[in-house]
Amino acid sequence: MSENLDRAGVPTVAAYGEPDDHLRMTVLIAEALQRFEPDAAKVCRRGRRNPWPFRFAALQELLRAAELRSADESPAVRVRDAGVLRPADLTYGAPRWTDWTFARENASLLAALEGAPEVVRFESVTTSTVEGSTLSGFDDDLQPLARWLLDHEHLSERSLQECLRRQRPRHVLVVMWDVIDPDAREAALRLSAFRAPQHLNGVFGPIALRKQMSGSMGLESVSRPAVDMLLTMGLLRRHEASGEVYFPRQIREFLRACANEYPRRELQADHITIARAISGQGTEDRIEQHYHAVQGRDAALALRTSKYYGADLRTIAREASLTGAYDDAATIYRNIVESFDARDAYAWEYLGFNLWRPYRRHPDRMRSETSREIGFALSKACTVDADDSTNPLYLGRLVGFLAVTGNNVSNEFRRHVREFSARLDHSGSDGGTPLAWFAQQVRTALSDAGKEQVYEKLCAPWVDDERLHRILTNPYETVGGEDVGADAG
Amino acid sequence: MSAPTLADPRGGDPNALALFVLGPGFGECQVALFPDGRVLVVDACMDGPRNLGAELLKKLGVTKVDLFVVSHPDKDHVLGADGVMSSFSVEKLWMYPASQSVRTVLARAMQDAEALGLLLPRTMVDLKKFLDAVRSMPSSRWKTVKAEGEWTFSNCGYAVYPIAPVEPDYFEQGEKLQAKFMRPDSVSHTPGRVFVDWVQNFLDDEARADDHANFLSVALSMVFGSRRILLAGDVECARGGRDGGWGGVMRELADPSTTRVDLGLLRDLDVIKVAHHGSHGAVHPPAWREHCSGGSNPLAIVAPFNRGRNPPPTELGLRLIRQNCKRLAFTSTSTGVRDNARAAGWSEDTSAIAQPEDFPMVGVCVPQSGPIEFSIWGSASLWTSP
Repeated sequence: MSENLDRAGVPTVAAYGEPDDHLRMTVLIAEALQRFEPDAAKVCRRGRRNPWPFRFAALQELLRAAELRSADESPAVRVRDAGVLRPADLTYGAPRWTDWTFARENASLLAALEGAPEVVRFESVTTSTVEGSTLSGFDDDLQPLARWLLDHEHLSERSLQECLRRQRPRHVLVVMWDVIDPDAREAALRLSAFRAPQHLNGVFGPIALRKQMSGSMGLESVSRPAVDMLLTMGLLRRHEASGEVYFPRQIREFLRACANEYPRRELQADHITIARAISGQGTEDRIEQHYHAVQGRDAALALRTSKYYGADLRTIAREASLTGAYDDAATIYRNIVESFDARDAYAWEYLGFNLWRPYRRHPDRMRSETSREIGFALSKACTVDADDSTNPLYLGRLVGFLAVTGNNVSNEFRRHVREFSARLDHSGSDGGTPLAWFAQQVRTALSDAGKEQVYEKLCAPWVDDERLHRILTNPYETVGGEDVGADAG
Repeated sequence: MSAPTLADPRGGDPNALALFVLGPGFGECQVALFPDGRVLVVDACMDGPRNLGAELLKKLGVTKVDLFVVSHPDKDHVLGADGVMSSFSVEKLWMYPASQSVRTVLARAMQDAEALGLLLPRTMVDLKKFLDAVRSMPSSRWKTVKAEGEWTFSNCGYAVYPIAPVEPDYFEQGEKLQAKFMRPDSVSHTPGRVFVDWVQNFLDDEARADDHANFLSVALSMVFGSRRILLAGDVECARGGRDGGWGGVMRELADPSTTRVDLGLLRDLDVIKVAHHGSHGAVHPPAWREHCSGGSNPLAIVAPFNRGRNPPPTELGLRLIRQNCKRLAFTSTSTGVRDNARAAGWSEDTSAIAQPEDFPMVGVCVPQSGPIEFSIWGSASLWTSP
């Protein structure tokens, strides 16, 4: 049972803005509500072969049961969400296939939780009660930092007003990054490996850390004065009830982005150290151990600790793909679809992508079983989820692969061009359109394999349609020259 | 007072300000020697293996730089900066804003490039080293600069004011940089190779519109008694109705709520180091009308840029400058620069005093009163508007 309890013993589950939010929160909420419907709770918490739709349906059933059977006036679980679960823009302006935040799943989860007000209580984000102050326009995450910058004359009152007027409150983070003391900066980067208040992750502060962590993760370099500085600046907060310290979500998100400036191996080693130091068998222990294994990019440890879910393994797979370790990436994606979620379209797509990658210039060297597996995987990506059946990136890769392996794809190509061109508007802007994305994938596949003439033939029916022909033959320009497909493994 | 030389930069007048503007065709650097012995250096540049700024400082007998300003992260302004830092004692360093965000972006790009087996350009490595060195300095010795504050001392008779970048430019470019280095598990992540290419373009002054290091450029206005000198960095005009760039600078300086409104920092100038190598995108006619108002006859100095298609100074830029300004000098004069100057209606003035040392440079003595004197070195040249 979670040790993240309020004074009344009600568990609190927070959204962190991490890729595992929807899964982690479902598992923890199910644990909190399991007394109302144990079977549904079991499904929510099952790790293997548990596609999100099944898990989510079980959660809905559990919430319904809890609403009906709960006799308490107080909620059964509290949820803290500072805008993380709100649905993102899922139009083609923000392609779904680059959706690392599982925005659709988060939106479903939010809707389900909001539909159970008797048992789920949302904690509101508090803002300053200073009336008439510029600072009151900043949210709780950023306000103390804005105040510190103002007090230390790093930003004027006028500048802060401009921040808000231009809807750029996070500008204070950029300013902070310029002016923060080097020791405090180092401390912030290292400490950002920890997540927000949970009985494991929340307990940090220089003394508590040294007691809890065995081995070195460089925390001896995190000095007490540096931590005090972070508290003074408003970057670190102290949890009122427990005295533990934590980073607010937006601060931590920014720091983790900046942490990329560190040699990755050092940061990853920090995460592995934390993962190995967590020895408990409780739900939260296991979840956090898995999280740190993923962040540490230790595929073997991440698989061993994936008791409740494995979708976040794509983080490891993607990095493997970016570094050219296509076999490793494919192995992980295969594991995701076979062991965890057979309906994960993204995993199917990038299983196919990574299997194909080594052969893209020499498709004749592919063994027939590999070719079959690639075709199967790319095809599954387009069929396993209704939304992805019209995904131009996935469809383009599939058609491209079929063309590269000698199949006649004229009909499929024509059909998809017709469908996607029907969605072109008449504003004259072709950039980033589904048609351009689709065309880019087909063209890239054939070009890499030295079969440009095949592509020219496919585009021939549109030679008299200037606009369409331009998009088809110059898709790189119309998607802004960014070949999202090539490296996004 | 006579024309400046390296042996006597103030032309015999110990109370004069000496200003040197270096520009070999790629890169620029300005060195100002104040009467009290203090030294200001803006940016750095290399000519092959020569660190021109460091070499000039040595020739002038300088051992300490009191204020070193790095205006923005384009490589033609930062190459050699670490050499200046390591060769001279630097009392204070002013950095363009969001410099640490640039450092973060650079570090990530370098890691991505290494992972992808891409060859890293030297500039990325050098700039990262320089920014690392800055980061390790005591924070009392360096600061982020934007259009506020000043550098001055009691009774010195001069002050240096940063007048750019203004807040709108800091906001916009800061946000763009932040979006670029956000974590891979966010929607905005840019794939490795594309990201590395973007960073290189950003440092090479070849980024697409609105993704430009120039928007972070520091510009300085020097007040020396009644004299006014503008070192304009690479500040450009605002784009598409945005209230940054020179329009933003003028607006800020005209704001009655600020203490600077009465200083006339852009008005009746004596010397102007022209912004962005004389490109027409950096010539803001309302600002130039101010620069040349009140009967002043400023000397405009251009450090040309010799890369890319139609490199600045462009004919249009020089034509726009000529609408208000009658004296122009180039720190180096290629055939293209000469052709553009003539096409823009300028006439070469061969009366300028040429000094023997091998520097692509224009040197100016600015006395407390009276006419300014100047010299040219290397392939620098002087032009007038009939």
